[in-house]
Amino acid sequence: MSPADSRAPGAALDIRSITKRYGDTPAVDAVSLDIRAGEFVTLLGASGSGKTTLLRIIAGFADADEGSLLVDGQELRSVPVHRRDIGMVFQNYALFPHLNVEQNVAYPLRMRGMRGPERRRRVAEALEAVHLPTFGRRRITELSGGQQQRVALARAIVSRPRLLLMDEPLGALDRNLRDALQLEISRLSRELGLTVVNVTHDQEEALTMSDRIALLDRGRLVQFATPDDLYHRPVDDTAAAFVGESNLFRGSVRDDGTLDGADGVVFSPPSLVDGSAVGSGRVAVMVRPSLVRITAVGSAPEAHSRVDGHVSGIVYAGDSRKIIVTTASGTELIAREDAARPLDVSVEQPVTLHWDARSSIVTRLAAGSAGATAPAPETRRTVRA
Amino acid sequence: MNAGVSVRVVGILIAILLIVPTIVICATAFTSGSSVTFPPQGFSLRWIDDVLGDRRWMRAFGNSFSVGLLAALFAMIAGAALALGAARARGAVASVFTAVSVLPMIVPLVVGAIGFYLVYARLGLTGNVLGLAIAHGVLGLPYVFVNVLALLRTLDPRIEEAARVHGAGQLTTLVTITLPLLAPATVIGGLLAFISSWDEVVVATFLSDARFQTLPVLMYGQIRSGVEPSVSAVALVVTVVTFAVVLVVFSVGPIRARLARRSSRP
Repeated sequence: MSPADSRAPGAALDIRSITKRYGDTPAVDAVSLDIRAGEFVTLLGASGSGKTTLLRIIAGFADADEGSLLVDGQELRSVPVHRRDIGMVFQNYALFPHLNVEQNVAYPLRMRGMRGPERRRRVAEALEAVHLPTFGRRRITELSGGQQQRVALARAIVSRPRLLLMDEPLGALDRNLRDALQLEISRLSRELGLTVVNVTHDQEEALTMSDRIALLDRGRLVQFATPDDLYHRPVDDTAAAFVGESNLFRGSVRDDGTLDGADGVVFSPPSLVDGSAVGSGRVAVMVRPSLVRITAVGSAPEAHSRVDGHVSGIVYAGDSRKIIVTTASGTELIAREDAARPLDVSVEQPVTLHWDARSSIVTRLAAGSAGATAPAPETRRTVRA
Repeated sequence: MNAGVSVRVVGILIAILLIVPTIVICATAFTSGSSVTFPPQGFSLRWIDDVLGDRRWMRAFGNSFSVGLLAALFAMIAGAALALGAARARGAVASVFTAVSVLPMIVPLVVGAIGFYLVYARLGLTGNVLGLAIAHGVLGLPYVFVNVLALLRTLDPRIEEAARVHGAGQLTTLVTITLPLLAPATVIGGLLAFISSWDEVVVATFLSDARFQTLPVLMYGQIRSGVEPSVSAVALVVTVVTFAVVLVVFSVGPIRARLARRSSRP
């Protein structure tokens, strides 16, 4: 698209405590997100987290029970679906099978009353943008899955909508195609200044494409943060467990700042390292597997936190190698190392896992999470180094 | 292997029972004699010629054809509408739509025919094309309903959502997306409705009079006064038209299947 046209930035979307109940169970529970114009936001969560329901509420296919949706300050909830000025990409493409590629892409323009050469020009531009300039006359049935999703993308952007919604857009594609389209969607949305709300359960996709990620769990917003923050500063153990691999130790903080009951881990220094406020006496300590070192028993550096166990599995995953260590209490921990390094441990061998004190990240336990047996927090406590 | 042989034998037997009478009657249409005998005596087109030149037969042919087309049209409109209703409504309402739509298949034909006669006589809908076409439309409706509903069940609801989110209101979505997608199934149902009207004799008898008769009604009347080779010739015409329609149904089938496959959920 020409530079002048590409200055059609998307709108800001202010989601204010949107709640949707099915019977008594809230599918979306008072979720608020302040999405800036031109921002790429991913709703990330497992199935049943409410991410798709929230997207359908934004699209208008479902209405919320409470809350408001403001697009550039205007309430969207009272606007019917077809007047919301949205572009949308569906997981299974949802192209119109009785129309050819060109007619599919032209559809949003046709609905907006645009005709003639202007419409043809815009369709051609959109097809150009998704690298299918010569595909206009093809039937949908003649296209591969990846090509169909490109057509769907062209259809979603052709009218320069205020919002681009994507419902697991890459879910039906194989891995290579997914990677290529990820980059392309990111590039396009940035070039066009689109505000994008993307839904996925694939954390890697979320981390790759998004400006910010909204992590949802059972209808509630766990954390809304940049990929970097979400990865390095998860707000609780749910976020830590969902985004990236992690070793989690749950326990409660004693008055002296040391952790009680964490699977036989010796923390060094004994009081937990982290400046963050911890919501309750019960916390989770997270260590990323790539920061964990593995060594013979007794030879871990004094300054490192450590735990003993035995190797229970070695798994190769492309460029890295996952070494699974089971501790005396039966907890499985993971150390990830470069696969190019020579392997110096074997299964059943007793080992010590150790890591730099700065690698321990302390988070609170989410209410209702597996490790949270304590009731609501009574005191706020800061755990210091 | 044995099972295969016996299945084939049964199949051939059934085929003989079903097809041979048709072949016999069609063959006798080419007789050069003046009575219906099999095998036919000699070969001539005189009876066919005779029928094609007979105003009574040709008027009945015209009546049957117009009734069939109009009935198919009614069945397509009502059947597709009811199928949409049954697919989109919930709970009891959907059941009502379905019940109404399959009822014409269940009600004994002769009972339905008497009902049509009693009601249509008051409305002035006996003895004309319109009345019989409406009645046959009702009888043909289930064919359209079942076909369209089956397609609707496999249709991805997100295709319509995609239309709406990209700017089409409900009615526009229906006209530009849903109906074109349902068209093949609707047309097939309509063709089947045409065939069912084309050879329907019970209701047609009740709703006809001396001046308005369809082909099957006239044939039935002729047979009662003795079988003539001209009846055979008419039978041939009826059969050819039916086969032609069936041929169309079979050729639309693959197109529809392809569409359904492409638009259905993965």
